Amino acid sequence: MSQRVDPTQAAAEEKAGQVVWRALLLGAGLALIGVLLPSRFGRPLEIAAIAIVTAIPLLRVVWLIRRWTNLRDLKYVRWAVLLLLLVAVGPALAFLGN
Amino acid sequence: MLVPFLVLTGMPVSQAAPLGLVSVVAASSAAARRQMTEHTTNHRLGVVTETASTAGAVAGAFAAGLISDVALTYMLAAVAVFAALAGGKRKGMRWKPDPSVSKDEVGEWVGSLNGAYSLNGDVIPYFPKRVGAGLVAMGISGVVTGISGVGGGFIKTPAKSELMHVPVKVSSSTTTFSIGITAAAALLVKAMHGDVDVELAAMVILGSLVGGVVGSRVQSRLSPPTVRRFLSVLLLVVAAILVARA
Repeated sequence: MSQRVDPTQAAAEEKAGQVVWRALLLGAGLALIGVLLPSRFGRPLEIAAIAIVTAIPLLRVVWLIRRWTNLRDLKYVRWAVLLLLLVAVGPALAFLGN
Repeated sequence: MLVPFLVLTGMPVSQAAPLGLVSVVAASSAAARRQMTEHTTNHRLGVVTETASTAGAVAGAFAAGLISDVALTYMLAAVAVFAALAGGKRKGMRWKPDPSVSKDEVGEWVGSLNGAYSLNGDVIPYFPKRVGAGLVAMGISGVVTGISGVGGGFIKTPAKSELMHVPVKVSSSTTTFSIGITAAAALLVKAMHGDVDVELAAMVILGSLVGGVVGSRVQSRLSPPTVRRFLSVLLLVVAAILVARA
């Protein structure tokens, strides 16, 4: 495997950066409206905002797994899958604890 | 930085910690667009080091309670001072521009942790060293995160930079990406326990969005030695806040 940059990386990263930014703006927009509205109406929007913002970093890892799989960079696909599994351990233990 | 600040203003740690996690997740994503455009984030390095860190965080969560808060706070302060001194005493840049590496090779390199970044029109390749030692440091930072709830970026960035010889711009950008993952996982746990103040968290998202954008813009305009000096000063401030908390 070449030790150099994937030629599609720059365009893919810029596109992913735009998607992350738009998702974050959506989350911030919901948070802003949620804060301004009375809590009865605002609370679901605030929860949606927190859910969107929390999902973004994890979805970035899923996106990396897809890209690296396409590049046949399987060593780092395995690392990324292991990372997501470890990330899942905490919430899984919390769920079992509840 | 948010958690020590909130605690200093009188908020209980149990309420401040989830808000700190929200701020880390939001700021991490807010910085992403600029950092991905500049290709300073090494995702392979971030994923590999974060795996050790997350494993440490899970172990740390189980070990929480074995160490007293005061002992832990002094330990964090000592780590911050050590990292500040290690980064602050080094002069100049470790990796130099290489004319044989073209602009097309800026970014992370396929199949390895190596890469190159662009600075003032020059292309600077880098080759991380001591990956095993770096993973141990990330594991320790994860344990600290698991026990205390702090993000751990103040350990991870200098560990990558000083231990693994990753350029500080790449190191801080990669850490910004990776701490968002651990914080998101920890936030899920806090949310499942019902520990997140939803209204305050929504406000923190708004503030972090602005902070993340401004921070990544400032970072991209500063030279590596300036970033390192700024980081050293910031670490000393963190240490002082921690000692004040203790």
